[in-house]
Amino acid sequence: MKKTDTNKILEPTVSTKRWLLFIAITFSIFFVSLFLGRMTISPETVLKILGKNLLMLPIEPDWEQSIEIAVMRIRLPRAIIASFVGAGLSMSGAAFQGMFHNPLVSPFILGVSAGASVGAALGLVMEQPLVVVQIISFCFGILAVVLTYFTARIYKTTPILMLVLAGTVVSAFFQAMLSLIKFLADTEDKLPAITFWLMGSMGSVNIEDLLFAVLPMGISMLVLFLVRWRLNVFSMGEQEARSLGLNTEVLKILIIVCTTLITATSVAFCGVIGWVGLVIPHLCRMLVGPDHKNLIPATFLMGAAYLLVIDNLCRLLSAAEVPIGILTAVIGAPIFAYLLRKTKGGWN
Amino acid sequence: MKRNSALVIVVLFLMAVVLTGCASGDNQATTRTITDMAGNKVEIPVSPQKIATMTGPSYEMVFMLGGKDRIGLVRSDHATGYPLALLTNPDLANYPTIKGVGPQTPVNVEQFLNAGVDLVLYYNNAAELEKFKMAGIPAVVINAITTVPATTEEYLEQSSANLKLLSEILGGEAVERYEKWHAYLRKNVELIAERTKDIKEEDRPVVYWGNTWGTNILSSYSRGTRNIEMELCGATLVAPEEGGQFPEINKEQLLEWDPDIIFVDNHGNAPELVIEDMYANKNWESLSAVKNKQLYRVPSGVFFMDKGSSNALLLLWLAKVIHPDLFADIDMIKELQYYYSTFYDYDLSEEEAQRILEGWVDEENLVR
Amino acid sequence: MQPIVSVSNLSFAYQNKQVLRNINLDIYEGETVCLLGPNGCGKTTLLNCIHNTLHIQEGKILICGRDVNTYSVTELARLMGYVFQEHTAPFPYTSLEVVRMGRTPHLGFFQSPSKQDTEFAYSIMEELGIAHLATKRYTNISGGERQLVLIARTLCQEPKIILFDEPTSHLDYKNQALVLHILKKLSQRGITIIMTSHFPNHVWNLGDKVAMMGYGGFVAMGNVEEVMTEENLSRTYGIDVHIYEVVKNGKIERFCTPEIGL
Repeated sequence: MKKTDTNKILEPTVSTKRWLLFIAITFSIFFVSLFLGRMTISPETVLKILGKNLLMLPIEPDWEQSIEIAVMRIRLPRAIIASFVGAGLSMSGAAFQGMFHNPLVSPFILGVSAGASVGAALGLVMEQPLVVVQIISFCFGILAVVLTYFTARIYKTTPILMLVLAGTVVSAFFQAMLSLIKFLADTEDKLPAITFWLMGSMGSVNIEDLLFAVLPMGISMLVLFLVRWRLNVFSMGEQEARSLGLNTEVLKILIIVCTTLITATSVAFCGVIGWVGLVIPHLCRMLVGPDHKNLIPATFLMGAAYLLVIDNLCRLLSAAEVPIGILTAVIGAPIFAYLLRKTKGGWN
Repeated sequence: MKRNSALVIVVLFLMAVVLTGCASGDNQATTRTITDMAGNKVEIPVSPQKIATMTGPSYEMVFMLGGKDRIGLVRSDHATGYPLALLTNPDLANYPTIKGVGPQTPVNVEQFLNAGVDLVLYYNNAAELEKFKMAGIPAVVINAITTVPATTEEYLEQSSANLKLLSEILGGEAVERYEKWHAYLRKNVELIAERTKDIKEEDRPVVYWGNTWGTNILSSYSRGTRNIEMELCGATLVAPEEGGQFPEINKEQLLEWDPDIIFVDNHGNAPELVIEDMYANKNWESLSAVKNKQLYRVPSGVFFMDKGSSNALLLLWLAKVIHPDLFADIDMIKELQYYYSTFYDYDLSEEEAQRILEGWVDEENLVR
Repeated sequence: MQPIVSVSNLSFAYQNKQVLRNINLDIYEGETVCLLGPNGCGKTTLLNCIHNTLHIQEGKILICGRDVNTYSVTELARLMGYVFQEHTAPFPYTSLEVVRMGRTPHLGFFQSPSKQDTEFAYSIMEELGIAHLATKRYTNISGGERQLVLIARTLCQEPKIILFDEPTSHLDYKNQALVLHILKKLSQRGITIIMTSHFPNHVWNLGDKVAMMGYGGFVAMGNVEEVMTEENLSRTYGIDVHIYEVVKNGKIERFCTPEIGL
């Protein structure tokens, strides 16, 4: 009798079956996205194209070249980048919310999106090719976080409160820089370019550049996944975590580095996409609980699925593409308001 | 003694009365009221001498109407951004310029006051218009039409509206020049319509008009005026129905439309770079327009040729590109030369005309 | 025999306020040491210095013969545990999850706790009689129960030394007794205990050594028998304290009460 009791107590709170269900849902959404688009392509054709290109099956093309381009060079990379950005931003949001003991924290709190926006604006104003714009944007995103970190450093530690304050200051500074650039930019062409870029789009990543976008995000997400349990300990409070043997400085730096890589890459390639890193961790907490052991993988899956669905809306609703930053705000903010009311501001 | 001082006072008093009488008498003849393109009633000087041309096409239009000596302030890019602007008007290099003016940007009205501007041609931005009003500078909104013309008549009317208003504002020879230009436009439209009116749907090439940011061809105009122009030239335009001034489409949408011809606008940075990239980029390999080398850069002149008065000239070029066989008899070099000598008072050489058609980029004079 | 904790010439100041002055203290393995004193005398500060949370200006602290600064965070956590005053966590973890966090110093950086770790944590909870709280949310249990959960968590670290900061302060009468009982059991197991307390009476049954602190330094320090005198207590707390001895069931019980005068 006792043994069964402990088994029940000791079994994981989210069963393997449920995980398989989550994984299946996310993969299905990814897969279905490949069948959707402004071009009408029959499902068998899509399958055949995928089979020929991904599985190296010997299928003779009975479709037009533009259809193959649409599936392999437009829909597939777009679905991949949407999944990674959605998953990455959500995981970063969850990691930061744990690290800062605060449910209102978004992954951009240390200034990365403000910095990356300035970088992109500079690149666009200087009429650089897209690749250069992305690189400058990425570098400025990193720069902003580095500034925040060293502004917050006292002696050998970076207290959480200082990080938040420094992040606010650095963000404000870069926002001001951005406004200045926008003000000085040629209003007929550069300014709309900057505005549109900032509103976000999953469509600007070429398949050749996909690896540069996906690799840093993938590695960082893996690291966050590996230290997810440590986030539980950390979330009890820094002094407590130290007393339990957790090197809080090392963990903080690691989390900051990983989240910054993820967010800087996503902003550099896809613009500023808000509300994902804030909302998805909350939704996941409602589904799987606050234990980061479950939360982190859950945000990965749900974040990917969420952004895939939204991006599908962006590219399907009309001939003109809806900037994704707009949709995530329009959909995300009401969801967040609802969540706040439901949880009454707490963590449950 | 007392009588003398009394006399002086009376004389001074009478002088004051007479002079004020003269002054107010002058005021009555110096202004009139017009209705601008946004429907505002504006009181403007009867004969403005220092006009500030702030919207994109405004300089070219005033120049074409013969008003080059009545311009008091131009945008910095009007002087340096378009190859033919300086060539056709060397004095332009000495005009006072202002930077940083745009449809959404706040202006520094002081600069206008410093330049002695007595009329501003401006965007439809209520907040900024108010500033001019408070500073006592009449502000006239031009280039602000938002309706879509459905018939050729409506198109003619809409395309001429800005110039008509400007000719009324400038008065004098501007009115004649406008009439001549309008007749020219009408002649072109009728010529093109005559040859294209019977073209069947299936023989109309599909055309996409791309605005550009960097090498991103995906920004376009929503249907708007371009629609009827393309119809007139015997083509069918593909464009998004909604999405503000410069909606972006996604890559798949362009593949789906698969236009036969793509016109690349000058609005972004470097149309030639866009075209170069599109020919090289694997994403666009399958596009008919790429395969058949039907990517065309819209020419630029005193301003972008598709804006201002020169659009009347551009129509011929568009028709030729879209239906080369139907318009083989039209010699664009000759047409360019005619237009430049008639409307810009400039003798355009053959080489210059050729360069315009190929997309003239004058690196030394251009400030991007 | 070498002391397990050795403090010599310790001085510590918060900014300009000198809190500790020239403290010397040797604690041997298995001893229970109580730190008594009024508010602000530096009891918790001393505890935090020993725990290497605060950086001392002068003096040395040796843990198992090594300077405390030479220990990594993980190494120190394997030796020393710290039970804070009970608090509310920001997240609603279950009590078992909280207890299991004590296994951190024994896990690799990228490791999550295994099934054995979870079972170990549960067995500790059973030992302390709080197994029934395992699946309850830490935020939903009472203050006393939380304190026990924190003790269980510390035990998961398998430490030799446990520091307690006022382990009974926020507890009701019954839970105070319960915690004291557990402290005694731990002591019997050979764990070195250093605790601060507001209640001199706890010392009698519990402590081997007691250090009475007055502003900046020790008023008295040594064995319980020697140091717990009316004079020392009165000097420490600044009021008259009386010690009474009572014989009950053949055992001598001592307790002290302050003089509540007019």
